[in-house]
Amino acid sequence: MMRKNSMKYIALALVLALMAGTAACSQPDPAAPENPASEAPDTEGSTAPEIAPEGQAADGEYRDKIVIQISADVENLHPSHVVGYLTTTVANQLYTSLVKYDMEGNVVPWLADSVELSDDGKKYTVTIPEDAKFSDGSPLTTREIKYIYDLTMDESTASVKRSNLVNSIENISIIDDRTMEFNLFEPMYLFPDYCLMLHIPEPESIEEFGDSYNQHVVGSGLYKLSEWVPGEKLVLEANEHYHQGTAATKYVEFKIIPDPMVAQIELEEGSVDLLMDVQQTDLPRYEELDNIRLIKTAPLSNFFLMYNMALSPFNDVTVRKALVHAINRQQIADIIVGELGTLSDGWLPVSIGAYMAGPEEALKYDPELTAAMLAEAGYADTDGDGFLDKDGSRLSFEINYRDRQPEAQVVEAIQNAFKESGIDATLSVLESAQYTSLLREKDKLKIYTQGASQDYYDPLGFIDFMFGTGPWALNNFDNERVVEICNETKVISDKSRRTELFTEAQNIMFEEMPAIPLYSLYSLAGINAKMENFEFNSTKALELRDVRIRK
Amino acid sequence: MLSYIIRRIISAVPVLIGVSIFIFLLIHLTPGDPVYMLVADSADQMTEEDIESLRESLGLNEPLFVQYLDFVKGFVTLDFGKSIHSKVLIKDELLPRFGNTAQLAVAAMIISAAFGIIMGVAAATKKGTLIDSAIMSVSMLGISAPEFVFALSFIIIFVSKLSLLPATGMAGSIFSPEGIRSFILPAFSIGMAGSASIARMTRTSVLEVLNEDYVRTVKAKGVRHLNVLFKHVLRNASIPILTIMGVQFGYLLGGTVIIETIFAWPGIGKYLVDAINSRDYPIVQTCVMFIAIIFAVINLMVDILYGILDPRISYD
Repeated sequence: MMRKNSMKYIALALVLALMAGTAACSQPDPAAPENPASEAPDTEGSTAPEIAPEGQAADGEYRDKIVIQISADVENLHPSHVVGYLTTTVANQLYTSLVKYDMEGNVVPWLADSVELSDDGKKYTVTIPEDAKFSDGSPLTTREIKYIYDLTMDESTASVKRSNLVNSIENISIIDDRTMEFNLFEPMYLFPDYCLMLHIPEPESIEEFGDSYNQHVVGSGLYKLSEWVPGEKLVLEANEHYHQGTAATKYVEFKIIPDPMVAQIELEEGSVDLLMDVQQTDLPRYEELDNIRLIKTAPLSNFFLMYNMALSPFNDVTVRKALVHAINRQQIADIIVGELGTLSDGWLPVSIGAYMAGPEEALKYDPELTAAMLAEAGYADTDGDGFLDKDGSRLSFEINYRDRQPEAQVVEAIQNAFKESGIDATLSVLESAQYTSLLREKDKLKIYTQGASQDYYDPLGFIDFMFGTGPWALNNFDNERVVEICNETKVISDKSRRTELFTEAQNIMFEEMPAIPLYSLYSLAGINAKMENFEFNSTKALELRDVRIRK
Repeated sequence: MLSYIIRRIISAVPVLIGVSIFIFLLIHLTPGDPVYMLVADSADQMTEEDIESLRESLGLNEPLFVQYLDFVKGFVTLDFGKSIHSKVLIKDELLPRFGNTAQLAVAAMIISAAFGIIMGVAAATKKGTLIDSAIMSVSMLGISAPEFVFALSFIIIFVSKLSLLPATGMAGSIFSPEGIRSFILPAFSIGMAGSASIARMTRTSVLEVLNEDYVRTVKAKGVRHLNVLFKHVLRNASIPILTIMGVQFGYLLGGTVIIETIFAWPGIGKYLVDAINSRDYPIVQTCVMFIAIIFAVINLMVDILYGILDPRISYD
């Protein structure tokens, strides 16, 4: 009996230990800010009249919380480690930086009162407001700004933002509490874009909380962090010290909903107000329902089928050009990409200033022309198997792509188009990490899909990143003149000259055809129809200061 | 008993060492470079030298055995390190997420066990009747249908059509009134699928015991039917049921990626899969070791329960 009882007690103890451990694991961090959700009414709650901007209704007509869907968790809100669209979107609400993009994509002062460039283009003088404050009320001076630049440039911080800073900034001088200078090694046209958008945290919080800083973020943005439940949500509360006026809505919740179908249901149900992850299959819902609205802006992305120009048969320009004519790109854009995007006719998205459409003869759909050009390159169906060959080798290759929509369907259509032209293309889907590694090796992928998107409107990003000297120019294009142009446009600021150079680069690329432009995707957002003052541009940047939602 | 537990713990050590070596090599030998994945999210102009410098600062240029020893040393001292991608301390994310997953697993197991055992016993006692056929057909459907079918069906019915329950998120602990509503859909989605296999196993085991001589004797002595069933039959039929429940519970504690994704549940499964996708070695290694230990503990608990349910099983 004793043995039986002791076994029961041991088993019970193990179960209780597991349950207690479970409960303990999910206890909130005692040091974390108190959950405001219990105080804050939910999506149908009352307004916060004390924080409504002057002149705006504050009598209970508006809700005091906006719920924004994000598809994955924010990674790290330490400014040295903020990367990726989602994390940057949240960080943009919590921090300010010296400059930012306005809704037209121009670089404008944000925390800075002014940003002046010296005549030699090597010194930026920045002044900030005298009364700038962090969200906890502590003063924000040039010393706090220099702190985060020094920290990010420190090799031991292991920041991916370090390279741009150390490669361009010779030193940072503090003139006084309001004025500082950034001295550059050489002029850099995109210095404000690359370097002056670093978020500014309160140094004391970083020093005090160290590795747990994420739960104790202090910035000077429109909102301050109230609660972060990893994997679930971030709740932000209006920052009364924000230098450009307090937010119209007291709380913003970034709610993590990875599944797009569930996110759409939540938008329709009203438990989400802004959906960043709009799917093609859900587009008709916006026509059918009155309580939701679709916002669509011009594309700021471009997708290509990239040729590896160091590998046969794509080291032959005739083959590269011939394959373009085998694909009915317009049909792919209309039927597969559909309402999500539009046909891409060039190396830049149409929303970029220097955009130029390619010559019709370079991009037209004409399988007969493909056949003629491949014959010119020496390919013929000598064995009658329906596929072209040359010197006993079939014209065949593997198209590498990643399993995401509409990319997966687009490559299937391309495979069929190639087959009709006697080209034996197989498809190989790659997982993201594998794709990235193989791409970096530069001699592994013969032909592959690749997309480019950016959060600013300068053409340099697209051309340099993909086809010049940038980190994603990995298809061995290595055109000397294009590289020269990229290097020149990194320095010069004369707009007409820049446009002239970018036009030249694009013409060279149409001559060399290092890739096939396929489609551009719109920036889409689904919103609650009662949302007011919501601005959304191609960069998908969120400007929430005046946004509010009618009850 | 205590010596048995100690022996089991000691015997788990080589298994865990094997798991640690296996997962370490597997993740490091899988194509994909964590530094490239990190750089892929950055819009910055990084040269190959910059990337190598980043690799060095993350300790990824060290020989593999050095990295392995660092990992083991960190795990043993409960210093799991930081995520390569987010630089966040792993323990700060792992423990709350494990707690969330465990709560969901417990809720799902209660549902699985309740439905599964009741259905299995009912099917066994009504063998060959319409009830038996109906229960077995439903359980076959439950085994065949993936969890996401239940999940999406529940969302469409209870969120989209009836607006009764929240679709996503964990509103609090299962013990809180607001939290329990958020548990209902994910717990039932997992529980319904799990109950099907428990029902089938229960039916088979109960049928075997029902045919034993001692059951006929008990019935002949005039013991009430329910007493026979639950006191004499189910208890003796419970070993295989417990085994399958133990395996299911261990599996659930390792996270259910699909359910966590659909219901936006902040659990360990999606955390691990995201880490695998971004080749975040420290997270992957730590999570897998954590799950391996949980499995070992669950197995030990099941073995102890065997002894409680069946006095013939002795560990001394």
